[in-house]
Amino acid sequence: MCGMQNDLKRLREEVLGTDVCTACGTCVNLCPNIISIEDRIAVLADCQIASGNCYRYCPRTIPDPRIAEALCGDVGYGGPVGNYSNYLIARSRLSGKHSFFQYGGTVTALLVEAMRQGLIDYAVVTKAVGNFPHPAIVKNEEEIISAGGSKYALSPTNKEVNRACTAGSGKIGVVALPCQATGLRKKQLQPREDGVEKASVSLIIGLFCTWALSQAGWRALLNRHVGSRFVKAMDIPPPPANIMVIDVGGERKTIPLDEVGKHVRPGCKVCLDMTAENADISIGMVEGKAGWNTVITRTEQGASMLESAVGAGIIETGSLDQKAWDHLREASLNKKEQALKEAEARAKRLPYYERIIKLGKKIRDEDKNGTER
Amino acid sequence: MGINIIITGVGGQGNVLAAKLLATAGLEAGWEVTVGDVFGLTQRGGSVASHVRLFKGYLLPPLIPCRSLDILVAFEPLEALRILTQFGRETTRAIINDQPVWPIGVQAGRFQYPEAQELHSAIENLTSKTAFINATRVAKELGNIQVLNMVMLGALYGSGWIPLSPRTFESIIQSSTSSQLRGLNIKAFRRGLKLKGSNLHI
Amino acid sequence: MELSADRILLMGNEAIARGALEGGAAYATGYPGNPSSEIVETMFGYQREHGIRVEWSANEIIALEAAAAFAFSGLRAIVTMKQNGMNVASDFLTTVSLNELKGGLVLVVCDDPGPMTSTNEQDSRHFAKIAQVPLLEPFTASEAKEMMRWLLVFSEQMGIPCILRSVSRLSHGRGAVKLGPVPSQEIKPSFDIEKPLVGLPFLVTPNHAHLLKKMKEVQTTFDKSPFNEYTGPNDANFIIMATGLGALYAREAVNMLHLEQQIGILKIGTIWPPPSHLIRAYLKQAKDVLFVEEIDPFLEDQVKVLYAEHASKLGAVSFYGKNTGDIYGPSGPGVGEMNTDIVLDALGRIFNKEISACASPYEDARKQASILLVPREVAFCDGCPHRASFLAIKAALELDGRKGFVVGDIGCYGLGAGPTGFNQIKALHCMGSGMGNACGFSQMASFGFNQPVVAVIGDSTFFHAGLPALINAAFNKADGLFIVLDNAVTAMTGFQVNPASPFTATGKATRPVLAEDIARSVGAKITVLDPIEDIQESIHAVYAALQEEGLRFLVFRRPCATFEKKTRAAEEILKARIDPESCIGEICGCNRFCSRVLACPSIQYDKDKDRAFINEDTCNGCGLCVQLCPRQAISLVNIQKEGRSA
Repeated sequence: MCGMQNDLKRLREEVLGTDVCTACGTCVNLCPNIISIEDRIAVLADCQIASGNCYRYCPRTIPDPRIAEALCGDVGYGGPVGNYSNYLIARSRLSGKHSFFQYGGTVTALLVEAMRQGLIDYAVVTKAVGNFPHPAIVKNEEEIISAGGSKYALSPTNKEVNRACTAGSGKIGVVALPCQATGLRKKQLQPREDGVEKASVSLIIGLFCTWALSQAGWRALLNRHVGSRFVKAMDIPPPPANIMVIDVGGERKTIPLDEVGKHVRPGCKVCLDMTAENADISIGMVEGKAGWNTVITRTEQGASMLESAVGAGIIETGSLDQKAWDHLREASLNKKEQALKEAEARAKRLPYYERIIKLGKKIRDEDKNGTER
Repeated sequence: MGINIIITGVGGQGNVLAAKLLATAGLEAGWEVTVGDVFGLTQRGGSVASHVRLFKGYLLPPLIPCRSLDILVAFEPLEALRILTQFGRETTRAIINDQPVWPIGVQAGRFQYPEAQELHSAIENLTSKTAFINATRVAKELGNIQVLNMVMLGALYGSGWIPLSPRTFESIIQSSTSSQLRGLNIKAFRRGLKLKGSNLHI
Repeated sequence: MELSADRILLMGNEAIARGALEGGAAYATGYPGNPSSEIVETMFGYQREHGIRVEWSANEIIALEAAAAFAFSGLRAIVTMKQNGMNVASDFLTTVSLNELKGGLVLVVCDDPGPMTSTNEQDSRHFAKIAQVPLLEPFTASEAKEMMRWLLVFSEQMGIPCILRSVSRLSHGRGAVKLGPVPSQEIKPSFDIEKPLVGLPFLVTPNHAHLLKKMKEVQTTFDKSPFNEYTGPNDANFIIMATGLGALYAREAVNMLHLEQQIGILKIGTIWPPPSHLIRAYLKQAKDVLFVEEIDPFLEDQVKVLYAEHASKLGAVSFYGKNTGDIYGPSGPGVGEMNTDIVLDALGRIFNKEISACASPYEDARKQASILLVPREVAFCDGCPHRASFLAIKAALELDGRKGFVVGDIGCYGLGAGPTGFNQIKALHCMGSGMGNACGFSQMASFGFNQPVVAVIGDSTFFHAGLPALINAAFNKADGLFIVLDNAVTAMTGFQVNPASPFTATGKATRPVLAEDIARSVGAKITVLDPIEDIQESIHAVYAALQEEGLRFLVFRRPCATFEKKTRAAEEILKARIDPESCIGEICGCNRFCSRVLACPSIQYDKDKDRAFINEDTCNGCGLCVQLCPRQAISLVNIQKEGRSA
């Protein structure tokens, strides 16, 4: 019984108890056995189920070959920024709310439009409570808007998606980090067979992400530099500044990036995916153009949602210049390269490392070819 | 001379009271008696066994030696087998409430409760006569599972295997059990008296 | 219970209590602990009619000190405890024996050989030798009563505290007891201020000499005591020297082997000081001596010392005992409980006799059958608050991820070391040991120790032995998380009241002492909550406490479910019920979480129907499972209401 291999045991050996987990939350709330507080995930008891959804959905486990084809990011290689249909810049035109958004507000506007169109009934987002992120369900425009703004530490948002899927019915939109988008896509491609989920995810809005802090690490940084004051905004100026800037109500605190780096979740350092390659649409900032977002549309769903928002006049778009696009691709490839190096350096035989290193050969080849081209 | 009886079951099934009343009845009838019991930890769902010894002549200790059991009264079949493997001998007779109470390890899936057929034949191989009865059902019909022990003692008296009179026993129930349960206890004892098990020759 | 005026059936502990009554005890106290608890409980029943003062003390040494005050003032008193309690009380015992008592004082200690509910199998008889006080050990309930009665009087005559030693099998066994008269209490107690009872160093030596002189007199009395009895042929040269139940095991074994004509049995009831003249007389007659006693070779050692002292006047004697490895159970000599079979085996070896087995088909069937025996592990009761507390602790430690662990001590919650408590407790020894251990673990940070430690302790144990550890932790700035599992009652030993209880042993309402009030006064950070009410909140509370530093004190407070069920005629009787439509059985990803992981005895899984179900006969309606079912298939129903509406 106990000695037999099963998916939970595999998940513990390959992900949860290792340095590859990003606390995306995809394995939490599928059953009462995997629980989480903050960005910590734990297993209560052994499980005898041979093949479990916790393992199937995890972005860090080996995907079923039948769905692997459809996935980029950490799972497959679809070019430097994954598969896409278009790239552009965008910002929200939602009235009177502009000043609230740290960047372009495109995510908020997209969610609002998706809800207006009936594509989603509600959304799972990450909301800041004090200086800390918490997954939350937002059910109307007001709630969507009030949940906007950047978060600085990881939160297992997908656990809330799992809860919502079994608790109610309807269509869910999710604002997801790259790892979370991959988990959600895996889940979408392999729906639960026990019929307990009456709601499903119909829109994944991905966020660009180079790394995220662990909550304990974020707390340590705050304690050291900010105390209990509320963080209004955070920024990492382009190299060679090598600092993180925290805006605490007018006062700006700078923290050396080396110090920050110590608190980055180890799982983030081996992530190949900067641009949420498995999302329907991915959103990031635009370097050097404040108040605008970079947008990459990937699926039909994502593209039409953007189109509809533009048509409704709540999103304004422009074209992303070639230089910025090249820069983004370079940054994304760089992230992949860093992750590969880190995985190689860790020299641990985990299925995730083996998989990305294998993927890495392909990436490096294509990268070389691409540069030649 | 003497009779060695073990009343076994699962903690909370009421074996302690049953043993006490049975020994009191033995004392009333002029026997020397001793009861060996264990309280405490085992009452938290563990195996429990009361050793009741009726004897004459020299004093006996409260523990029955291995292979010396005359009569087994078991509130649970797995516990019956547990006692028989240690104390049973060819002449041992048993009255068994054939209602399994799963050990927590079985419930949790760590162990397998033996199949009924297997359990019955193992028990029968270790007894000269065995009566399987459903005392749990009788107690539930009477409206209180707590009187299971009285149903079992009724069945023991009904077997005719012990030289004690049911009438005296009723007066002991009358004088020694709680006032709320007294009436029900006597009813349960009488229902037990009339129970006929599969091999119970009365 | 009094069926015949002549003899009634009494439990060993009830017989001891009866002996105290007949011996004129004015005070009975102790600390509950298996197998001793029923003595004081029985005394509670005598309290009103006979004007005896009875109470539970916060621990054993306080009990003994309080009882000594009665003896200092001319009244008789008894104190009860289990063997572990003897250690706690011994500090006072070894000093009070140096003083002259005015009233009788008897300490009853119940040992637990082959422990049924103990963390050691200590032989408490050694304390009689350490403190130089008389000790008797009975072999039947009847003799237990008689010894108790006699000892109270004898203790008063000699002015020395005395010990009565029992064992589980005697304390919890039952036998016929003939009742004697109860004396009336006529003495007015007073303390003679002209005769101070002080143990100042310069008084110790003369007092000690006086005590040893008195013990010589005791020995003379014991040589003629009816508690020592020889049975068997007058000229037997194989003699079994037995104490306590050993005498009965020996008699049964001798008779089963038909060796009555060859073996004499010397039953010794006066253990310390040993009746040396009596023993020497039988050593002179014997060529072989077998010892049968519980736990340590205590009598065996004393007899061998006596033999050595008088060897020149005695013939050659072969000794068979635990030291010589001639008498032993399945785990070896000197460990586990004595029984007839062990004596049978020993005699069989010595006399070269075959111990009769059943015919071989029967023995084969026995072997076959034992394969089917599934262990029946003990578990937290239905609705037990500890299940939720340990689940919360386990979850929090897993989430914390620093390989934290739990240290604990004695009580129902000690089962936290087993599967029912998710195997959480990793160190468990004596009363209060977890909190003490935690003090030390927290001082190893400078050596690089970085595992969080959680000490759990019950309410009663906290008052018994946790207080000094708490104060030590505060004083030495220990960085620990202490969790009091407060169920308002001392449940394991039979639901005795303690300072956390809302009523006294006699049922009077009282103000419970709240553990957190004490902890607050030493500056601990306090959290108090019901562990079951919101299990997620309980997990968060433990997790949050683990992230903090300093002295943290969390109280999980909820009354013992089994005690509540016994005592309260509740307005509403709640039972959990599983909706078979909502439960989806094996296809649910929960993998039978309620029955398998939670493992509440009331929750079972029906394989044929592929559904979990609740045994409503046993369910205590705590609602823990309700919160954890991922299908929300479990709900609480009020069956009282259902009954009324039906």
